[in-house]
Amino acid sequence: MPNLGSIMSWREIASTHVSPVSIAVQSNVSVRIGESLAVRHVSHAYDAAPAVSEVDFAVAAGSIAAILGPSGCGKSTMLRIIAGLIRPTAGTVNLGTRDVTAVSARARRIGMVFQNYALFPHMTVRENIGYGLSGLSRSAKRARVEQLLALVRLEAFADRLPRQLSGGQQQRVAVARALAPRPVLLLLDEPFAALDRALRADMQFEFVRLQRELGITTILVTHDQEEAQAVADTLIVMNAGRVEQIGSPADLYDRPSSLFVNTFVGHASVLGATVLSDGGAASRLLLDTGDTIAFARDVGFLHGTRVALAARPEHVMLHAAPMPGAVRARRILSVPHGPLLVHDLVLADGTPVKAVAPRTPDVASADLPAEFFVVFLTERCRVFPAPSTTS
Amino acid sequence: MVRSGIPFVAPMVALSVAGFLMPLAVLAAFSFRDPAGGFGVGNYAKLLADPLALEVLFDTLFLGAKVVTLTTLLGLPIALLYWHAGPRQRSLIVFLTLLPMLTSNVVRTFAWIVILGRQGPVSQMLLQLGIIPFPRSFLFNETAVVVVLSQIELPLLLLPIMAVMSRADRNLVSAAQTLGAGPWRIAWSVLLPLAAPGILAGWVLVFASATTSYVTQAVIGGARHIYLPQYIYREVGVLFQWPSAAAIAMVLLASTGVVMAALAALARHPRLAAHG
Repeated sequence: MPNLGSIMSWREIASTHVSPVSIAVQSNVSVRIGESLAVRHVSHAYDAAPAVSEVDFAVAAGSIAAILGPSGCGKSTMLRIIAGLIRPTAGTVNLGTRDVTAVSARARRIGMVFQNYALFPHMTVRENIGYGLSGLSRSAKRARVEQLLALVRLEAFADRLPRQLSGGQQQRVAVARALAPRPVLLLLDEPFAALDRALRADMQFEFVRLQRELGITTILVTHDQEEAQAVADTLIVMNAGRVEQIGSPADLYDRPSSLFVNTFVGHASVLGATVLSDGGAASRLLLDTGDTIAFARDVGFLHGTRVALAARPEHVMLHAAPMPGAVRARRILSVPHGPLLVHDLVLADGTPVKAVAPRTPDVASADLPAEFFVVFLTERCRVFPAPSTTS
Repeated sequence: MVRSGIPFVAPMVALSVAGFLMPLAVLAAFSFRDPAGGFGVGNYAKLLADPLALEVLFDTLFLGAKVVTLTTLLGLPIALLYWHAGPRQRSLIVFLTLLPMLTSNVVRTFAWIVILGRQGPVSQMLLQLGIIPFPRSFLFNETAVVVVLSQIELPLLLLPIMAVMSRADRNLVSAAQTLGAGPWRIAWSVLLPLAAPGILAGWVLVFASATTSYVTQAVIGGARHIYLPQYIYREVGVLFQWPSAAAIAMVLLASTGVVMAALAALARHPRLAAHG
């Protein structure tokens, strides 16, 4: 638990953080310093190669949103567009009630933390944090820098150069520097990617607590879905320059709207199949292995359509003996994960399937059967149109 | 097992000793020989007591400082252009920087004789504009030496700056922008410190090259304005005073060495050593 002093300093920062804009927008006394953000139909192309197209989303004031996607999906471009570092070829960016599309990065009052932190190497921690405070008097600037040093608990390192700090400390300096000019929105580009795994979890937790305390609207970009789920209220999944789905972490996990989201957010095994029946309240799928599995619902495709069945590991039930609706699978590898055992299986047609099951203590994986009969929990599995490459 | 690296560096060390250290040691020993055949500091005492020699020494060091200043004034805008250029334009700028270095120093110096001569384009242009009443030469003065040396040495300043800039993190500028800095503040507080190690390295090269550039100093400066390299040549080629020439050479080496050591020490400052 942090000491009382640091909590007080956070509150203090939050209360001194009120911008004229947010006072105008909200007349009530509650201290909400963040602005809402709305990105409307934004498209951008580098030399005719589209980087993002028709991106449209909104982030509520004071919340954390994560733009999640594989590298090259346009998420960093999107962040730079929001920051004002790139002028989009089409669409608008709105902060609160203002359209800021034509406002320069300099005048947007948006704090940004870069992936490599981009700390000025020739300036001390104190000078880095104070860089954005050029409009303040010397004493006000000094006080603000001290406040932020306390906020990120780096008072003892104020006069060091960035290269004399550890990765986690550099990250905190970058956050403090971005927060110093009292921005209305905070952007973070892969903020935890350069940290080692153990430190990353600590920093994520620390960051969420800081954000809650300050109430600043935050958007972070990441390719790590676990990180996005750990930190953000809302996930915006991007792929190939487009938004695939927007929702809460649980939404995306439980109700992915595309095969991409299903496999990118959490793990899923993908099985090729053909729809056998339609029109009724139930459907059957003919798997590429030759097995048929039954669905209690109409999967929504015409008879004969090639589809992809996505099954999360916890929706794959393993049985030692054949049973109706079960698919024969060969066990390749079983790896213990704490209380769970993760099985890598392969079906008769070579499709890999991942399954998790509770681990019985003191059973060596060599003693497990070489073959399982797999039953898919069809009420949980999702069915999508087959990707064009496999049809 | 620790394997010794000595066999690998031995050829290099042998070559350096034979080709560089030994001649320098011979030269140094030579500088302490007096005309009578004994050894002493007589050559140095004579040199430092000679007002002409001291004037030549300080003129030479000031020449270096002036050339460094002019190349910096010319080079920084080109460096800024390089920073903002795309990859293709960057290689074009590097190519154009290297292009003059493909011709010899001597050839470039003689080209300048044509440019600055009485019938040269500079004289003709000023004549046509009515600024000068009759054709005149712009050679044989220190300004001409500084201008010509600056043109010749400019690549030596630009190449280290470009090397530093091509490795620099562009996000630093983006970060400064999001923190509200305008273009002038970014140039002064981010780009200049970023380029500083390259600028200092360039200064060392330009200074060393400008103070020792015998051909350009002699041809453009003429006989009226002489610098230490010509002074050494006069001692050797005209007066056959080898020990005295060796002493002047040692003084030139020491004085440029001090300036370069100072610049190198500056480049090792922790704030500058942090990058580059």
